[in-house]
Amino acid sequence: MMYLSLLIASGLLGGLGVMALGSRINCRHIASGTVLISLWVFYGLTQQMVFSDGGIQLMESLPWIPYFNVRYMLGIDGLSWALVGLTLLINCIVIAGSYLVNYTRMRLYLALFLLMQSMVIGVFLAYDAILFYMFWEGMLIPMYLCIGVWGSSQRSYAAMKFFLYTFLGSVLMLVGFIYLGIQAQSFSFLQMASVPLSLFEQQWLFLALLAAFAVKIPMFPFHTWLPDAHTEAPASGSVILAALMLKVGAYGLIRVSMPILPDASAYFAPLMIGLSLIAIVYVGIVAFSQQDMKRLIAYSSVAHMGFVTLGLFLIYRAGDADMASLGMTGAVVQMISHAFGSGALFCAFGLLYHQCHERSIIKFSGLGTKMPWFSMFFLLFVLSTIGVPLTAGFVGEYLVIMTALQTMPLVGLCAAITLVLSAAYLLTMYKQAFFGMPSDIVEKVRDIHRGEVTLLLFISLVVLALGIYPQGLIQVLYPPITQLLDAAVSSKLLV
Amino acid sequence: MLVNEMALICLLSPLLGAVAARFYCHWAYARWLTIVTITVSWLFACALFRDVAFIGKAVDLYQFSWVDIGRYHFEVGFLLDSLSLMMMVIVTSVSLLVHVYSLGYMQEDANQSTYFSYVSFFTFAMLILVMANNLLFVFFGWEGVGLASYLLIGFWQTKAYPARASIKAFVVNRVGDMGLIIAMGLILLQLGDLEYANILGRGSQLLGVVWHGWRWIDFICLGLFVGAMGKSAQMPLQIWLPDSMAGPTPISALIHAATMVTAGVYLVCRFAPWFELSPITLSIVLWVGFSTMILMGIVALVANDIKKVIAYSTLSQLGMMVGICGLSGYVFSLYHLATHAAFKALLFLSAGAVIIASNHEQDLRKISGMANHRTIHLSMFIGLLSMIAVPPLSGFFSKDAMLMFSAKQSLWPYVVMVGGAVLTALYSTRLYYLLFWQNRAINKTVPVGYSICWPLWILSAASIYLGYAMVPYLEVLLRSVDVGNQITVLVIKDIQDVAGFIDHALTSLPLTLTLFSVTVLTYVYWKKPSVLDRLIKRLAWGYDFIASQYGLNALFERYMVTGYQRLSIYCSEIVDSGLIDQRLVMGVSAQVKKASGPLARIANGKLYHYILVMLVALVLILLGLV
Repeated sequence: MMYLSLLIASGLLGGLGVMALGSRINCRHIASGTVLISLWVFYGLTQQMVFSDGGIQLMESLPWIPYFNVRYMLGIDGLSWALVGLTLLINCIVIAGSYLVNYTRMRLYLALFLLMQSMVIGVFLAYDAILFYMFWEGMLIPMYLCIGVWGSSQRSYAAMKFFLYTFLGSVLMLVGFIYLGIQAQSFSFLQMASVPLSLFEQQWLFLALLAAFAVKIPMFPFHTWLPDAHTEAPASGSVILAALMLKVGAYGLIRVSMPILPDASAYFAPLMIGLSLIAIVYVGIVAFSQQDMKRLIAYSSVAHMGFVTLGLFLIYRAGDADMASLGMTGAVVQMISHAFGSGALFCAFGLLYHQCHERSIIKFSGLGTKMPWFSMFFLLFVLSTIGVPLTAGFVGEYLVIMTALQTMPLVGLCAAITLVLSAAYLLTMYKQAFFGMPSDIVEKVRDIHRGEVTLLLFISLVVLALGIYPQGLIQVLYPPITQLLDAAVSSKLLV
Repeated sequence: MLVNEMALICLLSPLLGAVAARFYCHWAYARWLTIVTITVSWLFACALFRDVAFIGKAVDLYQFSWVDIGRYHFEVGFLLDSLSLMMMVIVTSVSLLVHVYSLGYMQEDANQSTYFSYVSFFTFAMLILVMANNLLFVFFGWEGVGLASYLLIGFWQTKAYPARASIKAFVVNRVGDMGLIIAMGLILLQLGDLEYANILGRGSQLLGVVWHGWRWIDFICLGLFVGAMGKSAQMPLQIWLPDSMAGPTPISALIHAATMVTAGVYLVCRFAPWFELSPITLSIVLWVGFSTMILMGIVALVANDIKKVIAYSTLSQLGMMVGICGLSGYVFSLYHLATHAAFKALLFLSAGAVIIASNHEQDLRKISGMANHRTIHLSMFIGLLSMIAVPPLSGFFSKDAMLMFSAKQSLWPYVVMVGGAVLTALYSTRLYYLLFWQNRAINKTVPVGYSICWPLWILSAASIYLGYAMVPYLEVLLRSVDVGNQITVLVIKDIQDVAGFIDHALTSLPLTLTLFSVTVLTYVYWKKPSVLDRLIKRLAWGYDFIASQYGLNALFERYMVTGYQRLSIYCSEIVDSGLIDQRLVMGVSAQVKKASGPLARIANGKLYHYILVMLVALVLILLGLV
């Protein structure tokens, strides 16, 4: 059974199905059917996997462009499995959310999200650079359309900025891939990992790949497209953007940059750690004065992704393998929990925005009295983003800070400031919007109804489950992480 | 042995109540449900106390592995010893009384199910804090109680002041939590573990570790103490506590007097063996504790809000406990913690009754007619006497034990302690006279119900009797925090001879001074109240300065908060959108646009131009090859 291809194909076919049959059958049913089928395939795939083995499994490899030795090569390990699971879960939420709101051109909307699901899963499964690049770019177009078609007033500016910025980065990545492909005589990541490269070559290649990854994550100072894109995107677009799109950048660092270019990664580690710290502290400060709810969440997103890059590059300063895997696991857990922090905030705020079409924090007041249930869920997501224990947001942050304090205590000290910064900006926002007497806009809103409660309850349960028992996730992540870590720290220069 | 199941029930029962009451908040009996669950928790805590506290060794109960990476094991588990069991009993008892009290106090509130849910959640988090067997799990409770405190301070969310106070409490507490997180990282680096059983005995291993001439253990203890300062509101992190009085009064009794604010003392006592190894931290603990005690005691003399007076007195008492920790008298700190929980909860709950009886008036200068309210008068009187340390009430035993201990340590801590005791007497007397003597006009007071009176009676009994009852327990308690201090053992021996102890105290300096100052102040209030008015007028500037917590509050609210806002706006507008976005990103794109002008002329879509270029290029390449 070609589970991986099936998984990618299910989204594509579902998208086509929505476009073709959506006029006759309720297109939402087709979309949710598709996601259910994908989940079923994912379930079958999970049965086949051996989680204690950290290597690539269920490999599918077919020649694609034999002349250049480009192959259609897919594989999965625990890390990819977790991220694919995350993608499906988030898409479930988005598709379920589509029952709650009405957009124009619903068919196109759903088809794009199914397409996006395929592309994101493709990125997480691809083991061939060209295939990876194809999925990477394929992800861009639906997102571009999503912002451009269903966005708010400044949408064309934001969509264009998003597209050009990320596209510029990925073109440099393609150049890097071609060079690597020529050197390795193959575009397979596995072959690339074993090809010897001088430090000089590695450095340039690292920067070329970083151009794509740093923009996607986004790292400081390449982050300014994100607040614009988030503010203009529709709620579902923001959820996908925060929960999935940002993750592929970090995934690229783990899967491509670090194993293939270990020496350059070590060489640039201080720079990356520095940029991550700036993201954590400086962006945390910037977030405090944001007047637009979605901008604020977007900035908090950047600050939290700073922990991912921090955890990843701390491994080059770690004293031993266990300490390094602590950092890397922390980074990966942070990737996943961030999806349920910022992603959940965007999702919840989307439900509110749908009622009142207002983003300015200052216009809200007294939501707590008008929408008690909504404010309860929103508070939980805020707490998860702040990193309160027993919620998902705490785990990754804690592990990364612990690694930082052990490897570079001063870095850890700076990273720990986030405890205060994130509490300050998010709670100030929460206070303004949810406390006090209801303002004019808020007077008109109603509390969330049963369908919306179910949606938010589902997300909340995931948030709590990840926070209370993260070991369930970590035992899946640990074997592949030890393998990737080996590759990421074994120098190519001595070979 | 069923200890594990009992501990689990004790911990999870309040959580069950909290979740149920939150989700069924429209159900009329939700609040009764939380009372049932908290009673269950209290019963199991008492049973555990009876079974485990006296067996002489700690019981470690492993639950599950939270995160397991390589050699790092982050676990969830309980440690039951005489210290944690005492805390559990205190927490659940006060919580139960506050639940019952709130039935009456909150009866007109529309969201009272939510309120009860939060209080139960607080109990759950506080139980985690005291039951945890490792520092990470402690941190869960640590943040959990901070969260509960945030939710409850801001419970009346439509008002502006509670909203502001709640956020202040959370953020200032987080500064302390940062210290705890850092301490955890440093411990992990040196010892690779966070479990008490595995680390507390290995403190000496840290002694050799030096970083740029600084001893590692000093950093760790300092981090732990910063955490303790946040929770126990020690200067200069005390600024959140007076504002936390914006919350409902029963909460002030439970969270901001009896339990949560003592978490810092608990943590310091837990890590007593390590603090002993770090004399520099111990002296910081001593200084911070004593300055909080004296300075906040003075503020209590000038505050006019009934709740704030009690809040400042809490700060002063907490400073006393922390300061005694700095002298290595951990057992006596914990002794005072227990009696303080009783009489301070009593004072706060009485204050709540005063507020109800006087129709929500909190200003001491305006409250009138309280003297005729027998229950309130009596309970407030007992609470104050216990706090002043009049023998043989609870407060007397613990405070005199601390005094005796400090006297045996050295002279100047003793002098400061006596100063603290005298301050306590002064502000207590002032509170009493302002409340019951100043306005004796018989106004119509609102009657208070039984659910309010019963907790007051029970706590009055505890404020009288607990100190004496705990005397035999001190030896048991010492086993958990034993640092081999001989003076501690001597003082405990002295206390055990209760009659002799009281006899000795009656002739000692502190009690004499205390009673003397009470008498003087009584005389002034009785005969010449105008003296005080003139004094206040003469020293108006100093009066305001003290009332503003020595300018610390203004420093925080005016300069730090506003400064941070400015910094944030600067970063956001000048750096982020101005420099990075407009200059760099959009600037580059503008340059590209400009540069694309000439290119656009070349790429004009005319086929023969392209063919020409291709031909030229081909010729050049061929020439190059040749």
